[in-house]
Amino acid sequence: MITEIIVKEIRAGLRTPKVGITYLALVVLIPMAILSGGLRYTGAASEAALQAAVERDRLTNVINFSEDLLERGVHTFRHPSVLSILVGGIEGDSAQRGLASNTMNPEFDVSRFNSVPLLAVFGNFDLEFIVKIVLSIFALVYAFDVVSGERERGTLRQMLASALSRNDLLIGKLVANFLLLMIPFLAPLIVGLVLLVTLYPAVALGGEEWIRTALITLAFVLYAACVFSLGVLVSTLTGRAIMSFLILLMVWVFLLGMVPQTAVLVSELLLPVPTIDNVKRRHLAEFSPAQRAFGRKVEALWQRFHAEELRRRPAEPVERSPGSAAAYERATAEFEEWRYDERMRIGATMALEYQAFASEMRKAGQELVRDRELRQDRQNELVLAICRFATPAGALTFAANRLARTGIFSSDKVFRKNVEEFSRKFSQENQRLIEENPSLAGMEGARADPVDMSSIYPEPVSFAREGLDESVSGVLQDLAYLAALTVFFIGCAFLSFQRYDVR
Amino acid sequence: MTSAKFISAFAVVSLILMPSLFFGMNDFLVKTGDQTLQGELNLELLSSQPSWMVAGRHGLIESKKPFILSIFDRGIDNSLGRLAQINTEVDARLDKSTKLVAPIRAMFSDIDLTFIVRVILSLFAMLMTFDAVSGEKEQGTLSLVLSNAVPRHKVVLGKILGGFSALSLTLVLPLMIGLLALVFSYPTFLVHMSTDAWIRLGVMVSAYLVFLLVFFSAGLFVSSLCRHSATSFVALLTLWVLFAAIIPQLSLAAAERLLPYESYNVLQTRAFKEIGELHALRLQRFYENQGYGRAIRENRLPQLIADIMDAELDLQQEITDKYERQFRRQQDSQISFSTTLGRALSPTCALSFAVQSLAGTGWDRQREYLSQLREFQKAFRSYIVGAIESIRVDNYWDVFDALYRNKELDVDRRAVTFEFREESLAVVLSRCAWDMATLAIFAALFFAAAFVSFLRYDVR
Repeated sequence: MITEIIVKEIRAGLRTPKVGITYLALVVLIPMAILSGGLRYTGAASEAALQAAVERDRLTNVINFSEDLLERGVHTFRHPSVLSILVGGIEGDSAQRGLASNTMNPEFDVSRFNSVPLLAVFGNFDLEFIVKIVLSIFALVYAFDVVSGERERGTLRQMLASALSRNDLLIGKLVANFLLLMIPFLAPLIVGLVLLVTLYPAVALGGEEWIRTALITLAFVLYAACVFSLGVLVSTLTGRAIMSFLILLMVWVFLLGMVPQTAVLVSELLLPVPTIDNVKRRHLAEFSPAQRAFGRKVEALWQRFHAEELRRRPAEPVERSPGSAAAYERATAEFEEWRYDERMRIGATMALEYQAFASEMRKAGQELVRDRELRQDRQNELVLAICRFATPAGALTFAANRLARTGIFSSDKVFRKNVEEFSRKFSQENQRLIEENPSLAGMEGARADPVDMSSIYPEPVSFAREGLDESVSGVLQDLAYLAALTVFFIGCAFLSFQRYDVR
Repeated sequence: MTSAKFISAFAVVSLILMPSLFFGMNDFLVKTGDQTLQGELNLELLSSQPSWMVAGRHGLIESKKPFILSIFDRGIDNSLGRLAQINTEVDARLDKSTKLVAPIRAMFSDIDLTFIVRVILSLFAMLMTFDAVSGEKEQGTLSLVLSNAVPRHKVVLGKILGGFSALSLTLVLPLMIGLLALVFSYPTFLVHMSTDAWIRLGVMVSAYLVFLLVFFSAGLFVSSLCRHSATSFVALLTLWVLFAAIIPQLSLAAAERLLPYESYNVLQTRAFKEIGELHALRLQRFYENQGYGRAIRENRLPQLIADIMDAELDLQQEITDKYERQFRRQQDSQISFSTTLGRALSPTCALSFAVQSLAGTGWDRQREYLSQLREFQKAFRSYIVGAIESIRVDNYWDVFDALYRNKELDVDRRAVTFEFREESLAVVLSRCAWDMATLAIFAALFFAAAFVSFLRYDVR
């Protein structure tokens, strides 16, 4: 009985314009989104590789160790996540470059959107966007008149006049319409993936990536089911179809737009985080007295040197005789030699002291940066806690981003850890080189032989990202939430439909 | 029924607009708050350095001043860099965007007034009109209305004017309430809103209204084309997706495919490498020849260093400019191709560009900021070179002291303070004139089409 209803519904649905248009739209949009994602990914990946190559090249031939390397530091570049092709996440706004240096804390900068601002105007055009915006609207369009539309057309009464139970009818309609929605979604998706693999052979999708893709698709389907069942529920609650759609549109706008926005606002008010320039300036402001103290220390050293200089400076001979002139010249030459050596020695000592001082400065800055990061983390957690439960869109965003490894926790944090690790290694290597050859650290370093440090330079792809286990356990609750919501909406729809006035 | 639609639209807009405005204002105040400390701290930073050379190397930190209208339109501002380092080492660059620093903002984008108009109100506009004609026909009331002695064109005009006024109110009223709320909650709001800003806001609102007229007229037009309101509904939704999503992305994709360019980062890495080699050579030459010994004997070492530094900075500037020019040229052609295509084909694109220009949250203001920052960088570098140049060495024995050890640098406040000159109203208005014109043309076309189509409508 139910199967008959389903088949009938599907046949009826296929004749309506909405199915044709949905199919047309998704057949165009989905492969387009996937392929443009592929284009973007390969562009970003080759850029990271190119920049890394240039930087590594620079490291093979370091001429002025002190200035060039110690102070300027070394840049590492992040390879984009493969699945950013499907779910762009925050990749566009996250730092692609990390700086490791002796005198500064690891710095992160250079985001894609900042470099190519046009990309930021309309945001990520990826599969997630299509599902969250386009597919969800279509889901509402399929669902809103499932019951109320039939009632308006007068056909509902006819259907129930036959020996059809309300439950069966509703099940039939639900299944049929959801299938009608899923087929124009899943078919282009598969086509898009096939095209991706064919046209972009450079994109390496291993077993793990395919599992992730499957899970992401599952998340999308669950989300669509959730929105669809909400639509059906509202349809069973209202008499007129247009009223259903109006209500649904409002709910859609709230859940998609207002809830996340309010969550971010509330979190910002409850747990404010200082801006990065604020932290930088505070660091420098705190550091400036230390700088002056260091300056005074240096001053004291030079004063002592001056005193010694005055003591050692040879006196001009009282009478001018060839003997005394020669002696004076010799004494001056000796004095100049001593002076030069002493200056070099002090210079080298000062350089080493400065290194120690610089690491103090870095440590102090680290405190502030860590504090800021902790606050940011707490704020993030609050926002996510709200969004993942207050709106299905929040759960979907989080789950999709995490599975694609383009989200907050799985992407940014890991890169930072990696750069900090490299920074430590970099400092250690520097220390080792200076200990072997102390003149590298001072001004003499300019005349030393070129240093080759390229062996420690990491490749962009070597920066590890979160493993499959972690991702999956992270998103289980979101998938469960979406499924539970769907079941809840469907249950309510059944209850509501029992009492529905079909006249 | 109609009043229910309008009331719900009004409610939705108000409820979403309020937190949006407050969040924007809060954000704006935080960013501007830091600005006031900036000057003092920069001065402190510089004067505590041990020598002019080191001062030049460390330089200043500048953070971008936000524009008050970012409260209403966030644009792409939060994705664009805000911090720049001005020094003698690296070319200035605006980085560390708000979203880079606070990734949660990237995950859940800000809702602003532009979003409300672009997405919510345009959908409502279509929702209100899709059954304006075909719905009445279905209900049979259309023939009734037209059987009166009311001429058709008056009916159409009545519908359009009446409906559109109501729609305008769903935008204007919440906005006014929002403005009042802002004035009462944030006393500095009115201080920041200069006359210039009010005019810009006025133009923004008219852009919004013309944009809504486009979708309103499109709704009427499609409604009068279709027999069934269900068809017109789906057709309008498709049109909306086309304008709001498909065309913008397509024009962007086309531009990327046809006019690709190496990103600035790659160019900067290359420039960085070239300059690095330059610096290394500088130090080698400095010690090996360059009249170093003679300069010391003649008490002229600071002046020699100033000369060398000046020449090096010029060369560095040349290298950077070379890459910069190439990059700008390619970037400009891609951007103008994409924006021209987008705005010609989609009113949503035209609106976004116009509003971003007016609110100072688009690429234009960033570009202007960056170029003024680079001018300032040149001036700062000249200042440092000048300061080194003016070091007087009286005594052969004091030369190193004079160069490398200063008790306290006497920094000229004016020379190290950067003031951004906002673009003039005339420039901004002329830039968004194209977009406004496009919007007006779209509106006029759909309006005329709706008019004509209704006049020939078969009411049977």
